Amino acid sequence: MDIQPVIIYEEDARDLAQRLDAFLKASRSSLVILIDRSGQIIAERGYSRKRDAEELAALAAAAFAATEQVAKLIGEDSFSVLFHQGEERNIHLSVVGDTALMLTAFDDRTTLGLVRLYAGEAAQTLLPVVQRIHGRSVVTGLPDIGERRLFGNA
Amino acid sequence: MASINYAQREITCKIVYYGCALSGKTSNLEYIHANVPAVEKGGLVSLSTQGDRTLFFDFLPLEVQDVGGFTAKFQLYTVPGQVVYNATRRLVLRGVDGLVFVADSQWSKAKENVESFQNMLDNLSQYGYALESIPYVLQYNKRDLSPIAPGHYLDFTLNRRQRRVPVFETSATVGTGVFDCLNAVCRLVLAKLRAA
Ligand SMILES: Nc1nc2c(ncn2[C@@H]2O[C@H](COP(=O)(O)OP(=O)(O)OP(=O)(O)O)[C@@H](O)[C@H]2O)c(=O)[nH]1
Ligand SMILES: [Mg+2]
Repeated sequence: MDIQPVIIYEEDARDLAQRLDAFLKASRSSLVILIDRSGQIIAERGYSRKRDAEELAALAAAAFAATEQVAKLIGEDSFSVLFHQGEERNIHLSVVGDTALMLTAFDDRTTLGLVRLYAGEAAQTLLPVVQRIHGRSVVTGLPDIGERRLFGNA
Repeated sequence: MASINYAQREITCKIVYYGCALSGKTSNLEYIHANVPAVEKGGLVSLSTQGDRTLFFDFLPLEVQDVGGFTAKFQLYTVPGQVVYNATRRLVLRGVDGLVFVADSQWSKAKENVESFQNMLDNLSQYGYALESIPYVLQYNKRDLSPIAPGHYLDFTLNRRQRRVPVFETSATVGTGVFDCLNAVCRLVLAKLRAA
């Protein structure tokens, strides 16, 4: 089987941003990252330092995958939410269909209950967009780098 | 899995360094991290035990601006080589776009290399992936040690599939061959995406 890339066009990015913004506002959260299960960022809204989001996404996808395996070992397969409670900031991780995760960071301006409620709603509205960016097979305009060395030329 | 974001003009690919315990996977990422300019890299995240053995994975995000009008991002991962960590090793393969198989060239590791290669095939198949459709290269590491197996012996045991793949002889701790290997797998991954 060939692994199909995720392809995001302008209108997909716009639709994702609009839905994630609506979620941030309703849930009063500070950051939301839509993550492919392989650990990549699909879309991101709210505040994070530039490189932190990539790290967060990779770690969150891994934590989720590991916890999912643990759940399977104890005979639980409908596992869908992970929650990390911190002193000031909390992380809520939930599924969007089979291929994506949604990471939400929030503090005491809101509650876990609200975040959970709106994350569930957001997953519904995000799902059709997440589905349509998968399984597109026509890729155009990608660079041909020939023999160019991308790294280590210094 | 690769993502191509036309809105942000970004291509992101996942590259996994695979291989038996202590073959030098983490050393590759450490060398790369230490030797690419700050604008091209994020932090190196290592989920390891106290003795520096990889427990889950290492993660290093790299990016190059202006690759034919795109920013090309490569997310490098290692797997834990120790046999007992197979469950986590498999998780890291999810959505892999390119592989570097890091073999330990020492004679004493000949069997472990082959077992690890087979284990990679098994774990890929758990996701329905076949090595035939994933770009990969071989790295024969620890060339500075002796006694080591000659390249043609390692070819005979590891590069015997229908598609012969590029091979890099390396010493990851000092960096010999590490960037050649990285550049080759990045090129293959981008070429594969173009051909899709
Ligand atoms: N002499 C020599 N030593 C090396 C080389 N590459 C790695 N090593 C050493 O081999 C040991 C293991 O290296 P790692 O990079 O941690 O190996 P790994 O593949 O990540 O091991 P696991 O995480 O357990 O799977 C370390 O002591 C390294 O310094 C090399 O090219 N030459
Ligand atoms: Mg390691």
